Amino acid sequence: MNDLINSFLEEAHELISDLEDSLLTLEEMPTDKDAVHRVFRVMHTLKGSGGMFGFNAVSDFTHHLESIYYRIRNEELKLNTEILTLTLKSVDLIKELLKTPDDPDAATQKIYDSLVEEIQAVTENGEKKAKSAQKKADFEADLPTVQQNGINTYFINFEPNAEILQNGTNPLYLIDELVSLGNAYVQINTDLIPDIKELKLDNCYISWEIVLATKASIGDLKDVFIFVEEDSEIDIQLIGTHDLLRYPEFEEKLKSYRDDSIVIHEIIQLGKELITQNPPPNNNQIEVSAEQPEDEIDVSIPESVIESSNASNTNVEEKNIPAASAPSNSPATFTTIRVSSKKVETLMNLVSEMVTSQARLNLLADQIKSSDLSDAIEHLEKLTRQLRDNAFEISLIPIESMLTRFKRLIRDLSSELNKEVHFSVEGTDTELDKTIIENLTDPLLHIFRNAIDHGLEDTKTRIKIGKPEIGQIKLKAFYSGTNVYIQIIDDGKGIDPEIIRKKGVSKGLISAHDQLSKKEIFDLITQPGFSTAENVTDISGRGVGMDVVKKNIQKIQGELLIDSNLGVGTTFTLKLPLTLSIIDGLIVSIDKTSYIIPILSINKIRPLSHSLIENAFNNSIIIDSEQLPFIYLRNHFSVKTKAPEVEQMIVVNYENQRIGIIIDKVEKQSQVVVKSIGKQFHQHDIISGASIMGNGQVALVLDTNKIIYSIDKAKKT
Amino acid sequence: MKKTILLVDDSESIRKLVQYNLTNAGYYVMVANNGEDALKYFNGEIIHLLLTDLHMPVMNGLELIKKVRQIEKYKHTPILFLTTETQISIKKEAKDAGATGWIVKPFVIDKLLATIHKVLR
Repeated sequence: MNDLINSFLEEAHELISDLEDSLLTLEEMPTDKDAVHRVFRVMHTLKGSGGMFGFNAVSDFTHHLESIYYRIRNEELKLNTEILTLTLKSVDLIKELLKTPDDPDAATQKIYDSLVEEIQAVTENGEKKAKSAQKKADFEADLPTVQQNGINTYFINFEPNAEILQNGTNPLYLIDELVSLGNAYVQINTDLIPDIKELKLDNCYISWEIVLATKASIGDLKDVFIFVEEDSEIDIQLIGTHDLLRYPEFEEKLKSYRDDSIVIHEIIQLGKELITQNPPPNNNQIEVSAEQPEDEIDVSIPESVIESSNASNTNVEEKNIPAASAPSNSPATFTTIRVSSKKVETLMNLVSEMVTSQARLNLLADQIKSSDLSDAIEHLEKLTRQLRDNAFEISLIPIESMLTRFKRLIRDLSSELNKEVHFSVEGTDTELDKTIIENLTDPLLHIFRNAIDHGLEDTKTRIKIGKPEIGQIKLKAFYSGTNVYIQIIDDGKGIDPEIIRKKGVSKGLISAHDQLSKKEIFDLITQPGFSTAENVTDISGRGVGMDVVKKNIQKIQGELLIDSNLGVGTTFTLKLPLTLSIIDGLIVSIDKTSYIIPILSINKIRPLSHSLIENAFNNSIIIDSEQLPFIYLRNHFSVKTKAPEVEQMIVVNYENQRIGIIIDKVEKQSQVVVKSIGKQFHQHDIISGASIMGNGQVALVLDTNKIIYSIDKAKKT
Repeated sequence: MKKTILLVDDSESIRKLVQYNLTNAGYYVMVANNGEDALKYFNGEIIHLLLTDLHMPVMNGLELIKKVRQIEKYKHTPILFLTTETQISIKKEAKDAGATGWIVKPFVIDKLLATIHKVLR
C-alpha cells in the first residue's frame, strides 16, 4: 500500500507542475481551450485519486476548484485574472495538503476555508440551488409508511427494454442481486416471446414480477436498477410491513397468479389480513434483544435455502431458531439435520467413484455411436455434475466452526501473558472443504499463539508508545476466485526485517551479502529451525513453529504469506483452495500420455507451429501481441518422439502473470477426481495429483501455479 | 476461469490501485493508459469487462466505447466507465455510446467490486 501511495504522490506532483504550466499559458492566452481542458483534467484526476488514496482534503478541495473550470469549459463562465490568481493560490494549498493524508492543521484549514469561500463566490450561480432541490426530491420519493430498520415487503415489476442485452447488461444479475437482499418470490412473464420466426436473438422478451421481503430501503432497491432505470419499466411498491412471505397463505396466493400478472391490491389486502390475524413479532424488538444477529437472519431466509446451506454444518451445532419468531400456525419443519461426518465422507467417495464411471460411460458412448445411448448418457452426466456439486457443498464447513477453539486460546493466553486482547472476526461464514478445515486448526492456533506472544506488546508498552491499551487480533476470511483467504491481523509491534535478516545470517540460512526483498526476508521465518524470540517462552518460540505451520498449509495446497510493518502490526495470510478432490479439467495429451490442466486457471488456447517453438527466443513467444514465457512439457517430461507440426499452447493465469504450457493436443473437457500421488513423486513439484480416466488410464494433474512459479524462479537465477 | 478486466485510465496511480485490488479480488487485470492504447487489446483477446475512465488524452473513453461496440465480438461485453459527480450528466451520452453502467469517483474498493458484480459474474 505504501508503494501505491508513493506512486500517487509522485504522480500528483507531476500533475501539479503540469497544472501550473497550463495556468501560465492561460495567463497569456485566456482563450486557449486546450489549456482549460488540461487544467480540468488534472483537477479531475487529483480529485479522483486523492479521495482513493486517503487524501480526502485534497479531493474535497479540488472538487470545489474543479467546478470553476467545469463552467469555463462549458462556456458558462469567463476566465479572468481573478480566477487565475485564485487557482494559483489553490495550487499552493493543494501542495500543502499533499504533505499528509491527515486532517490539515489549523493554519492550513483557515486558508482552505477562505479559498473555498472565494471559489464559491465565483461559482455562486445556481449550482447550490439545484443541489438542494435534488436532495428534497430524493427525500420525498421515500414512502412514509415504510417501517424503518425493519423488514418490509415490496412488489417490484421489472420490464426491461427489449434492447437491454445489447449494451452488455444481464438482467438476470439484477434479479439475483434483488433476491440476495432478502426473502423473495420471483415470477417470470414470458408472454411477449414471439414466434420463433420473429425471435431476435439479442432482444429481451422477458419481464419479472418480484415480491421481496427485505430490510433494504426503497432507495437500495432502486439502486439495483440504477444502470437500466432510464430505458426500462421499473415499478417498486411497498405492499406491507413485515415479511409477508413468511405466511404460507401469502405464498399460496402468489402462486395462484402463476399464469397471470400479480394483482397488487389483492395481495396488499391479504397481507393486511394476515398481519391482523397473526401479528408477527416486532422486527425491531428482535434486533435489539437478539444477541446473535445470525439467528435473525436464519428466520428471514426461506427454509429451502437454509436446507441447502446449513445441512452442510455436519460438525457444527444446529442453530436455534427462536420459536417465538416463527409464524405460530406453520407446521414444525426441520431446517437443518445433523449427519455424522462418516456418512458425508462415504457420500463423497461414492460421488467420486460415480464421476469416474461417468467418464467411462462417455467413452463407451463415443465408441458405440448410438444417438439414443448418447442422449441418455448426456442427461446422466448433467445429473452427475449436479450431484457432485451438491455433495461437495454438503461437505463444506464454515470457518465459524473453528472459532470457539481460537476464542478460548486467546482468552487463556491473554490472561497468562497479561496482555489484554480484543479478538474480532469477519467473514466466518466462508466455507471450506472439511479436510482443509481439519488440517487448518493447528496451523491457525500456532499463528494466534505467535501473534499474542510475539506480536502484541504488553499493556504497559502499548500505553507508553501511545497505542490503544487493548491489543487487536482479527481473523478475516473471504473468497477470491477459486481460493479462500484467511488472514490473521494483529496491531502489535510488527516484525523487524533487519533482525530477521541477521538471524538468518547467523543461522546460516542466507549469506550476509544476499540482497533480499522484504517478502523474501519474511519467508525466512518459515524456514526450518528459525526462532527469534529472545526469551523462549512456553507459548511459542521453541524452534519448531512457523516451518511446521508452512508445511501443514502446503500439505493442503495452500500458501502462507507474511506481511508486516514495524510498529504497526503483522498480517499472516493463508491462501487455500476451495476443494482438493473434484475439479473441472481440460484433458490434454503429449505423445500418448494424458495430462489434466484445471479449467479454472486457463485463459485461452492457441495453436502454434512447431518451428515457432524451436526458434523461440529466450523461452518466450508473442501471442496476441503479448509476450508470454512458456514451458515446453515435451522437454520437461523428456518425451523423445517426434513432435507434431502444430502444437497447442494453453495460456494459464496466476495472480497477475500469464504463461503458456505447450502440449501436443487438446483432447476434451471433463470432471476429474484428483487423488494424491504420494511421496514418491514429490520432486515433481509441477504435479498436484493424478486421476483415473474413463479408459482406466492414469493422467497426471498439472499444478499451474507451481509451473508459473518454477518459470519465475528460473528467470531469476 | 479467472475473469479478465481491461482497465483504462491515464492516471498511473489509479491504475495501480485498482489493478492491485481487482487482482486481489481474483480478477486478471490488463491495463492501458488511453483509448487508443486500449483498442489494441480488442483484437480477439478475451475481455470480460472494460473499465474505462472518460477523460483521457489521445483517445477519450467515449470514443473508445463507440469503437469497441463496433467490433462484433465485443458488442455485448459489459463496459463500465468512471465518472465524477460533477460530470454525471455525461452518463446518458456514455450509455448511448454503448456503456453498461458507471462508477462515481472517488470510490471505495468495496463499491467498485459491488458495481462490477452487477455486470460480471
